Amino acid sequence: MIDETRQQIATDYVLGELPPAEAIAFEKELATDEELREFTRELKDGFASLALEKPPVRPDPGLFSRILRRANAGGRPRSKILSFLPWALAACFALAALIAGLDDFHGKQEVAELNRRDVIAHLQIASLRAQIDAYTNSSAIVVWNAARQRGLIRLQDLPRAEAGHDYQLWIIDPTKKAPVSAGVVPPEKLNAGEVEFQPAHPITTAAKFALSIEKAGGSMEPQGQIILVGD
Amino acid sequence: MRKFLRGSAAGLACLGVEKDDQQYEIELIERIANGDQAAFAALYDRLSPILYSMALRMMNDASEAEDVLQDGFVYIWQRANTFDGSRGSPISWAITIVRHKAIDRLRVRLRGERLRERASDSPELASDKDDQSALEPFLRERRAQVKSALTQLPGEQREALQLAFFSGLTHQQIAAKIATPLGTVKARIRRGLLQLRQLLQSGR
Repeated sequence: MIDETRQQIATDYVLGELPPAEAIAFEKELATDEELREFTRELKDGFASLALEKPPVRPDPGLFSRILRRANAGGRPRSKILSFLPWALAACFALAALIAGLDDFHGKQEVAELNRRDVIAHLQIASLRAQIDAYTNSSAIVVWNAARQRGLIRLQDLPRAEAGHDYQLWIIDPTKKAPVSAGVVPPEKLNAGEVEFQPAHPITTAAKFALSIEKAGGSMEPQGQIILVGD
Repeated sequence: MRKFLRGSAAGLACLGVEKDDQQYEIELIERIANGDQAAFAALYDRLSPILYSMALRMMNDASEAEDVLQDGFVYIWQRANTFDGSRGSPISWAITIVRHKAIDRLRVRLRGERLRERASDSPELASDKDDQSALEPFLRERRAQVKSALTQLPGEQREALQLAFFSGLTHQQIAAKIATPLGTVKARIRRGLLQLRQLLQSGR
């Protein structure tokens, strides 16, 4: 028999209302308690069934080909082992945990748990690569949380910008006329530093991230050379 | 080594999906995980009317609902290998994914528009005209059961559940929206969900 307290926890879990640490603890319980697991599964399926309440509507016939184009652009489905490139994960775990609000982040096991319940699925991880020869050794990783409209960038081997200039991060959102500024990178963070950013305007779709050289203090729109780009 | 766990019989019953249908969907997801586009198309044909209807209701905007559906199916394509049948049926997995994508966009919209209210039921977008032909046969009966079950819930529980599912609001935000204590809202949602589960099981 599942008591009312655990029923409430299971309900909060299904609705995504549990804080991450409590959700992880609950998932550990699920792994060993078959009755609770079955109960939670039924709640989850019951909650999902609300989607059936309204009449079905067929989407535009051309939509699937657009989906397929996007899916193919992203390559084949990820295998279990290669769901994330290990090196990228190693660099991003702590960042992802931080911007996901996981104050009690402890390591890979927790990330695996989070991945299973799609917490990390809300995060977009982009690897930025050099566009010009002078920056061949430079790179950056961006972790973007669309729900929180916040992100972190970790820069690697980026030389100091010449006097009177700064590096500025941009988010390319197809729904916006121009790239959206995500701020200027402080000089002390140019080599393996992590910088939290928040875009100047709400982002609907972060299709790409780019780093450009701008006049000191940054620009309203990109005017300088783009040196790193990635999605 | 198999990546997918099969759902239990009770789990299947809860969404009203026959075992053969469920098995077929699991096989489609397995094939998608191996890059099979035909399987991807088959799953899309099967589930997109439900998922698009849900996205329309949540976004109240056809273009944004299409974007949500795109996001959801691209995610399904890329992450089919993470499906775990012990945690829910394929259809509830897909519903959860697309709902999360819609909530992500709703929260961006809410930030951008400073919580500008939109009607949750646009007559134009969410008419009650019932296009059952757009549904797989096995889901037609299920839809009738869900509608029937919802009408049997007390109004306040139904309202709380619908707000929780479609609005993207947290419990705290729901409590503020309907000017009701948080504890009461949580209890309504819990009781409503428990009763819904029971009604759906007894309707089988």
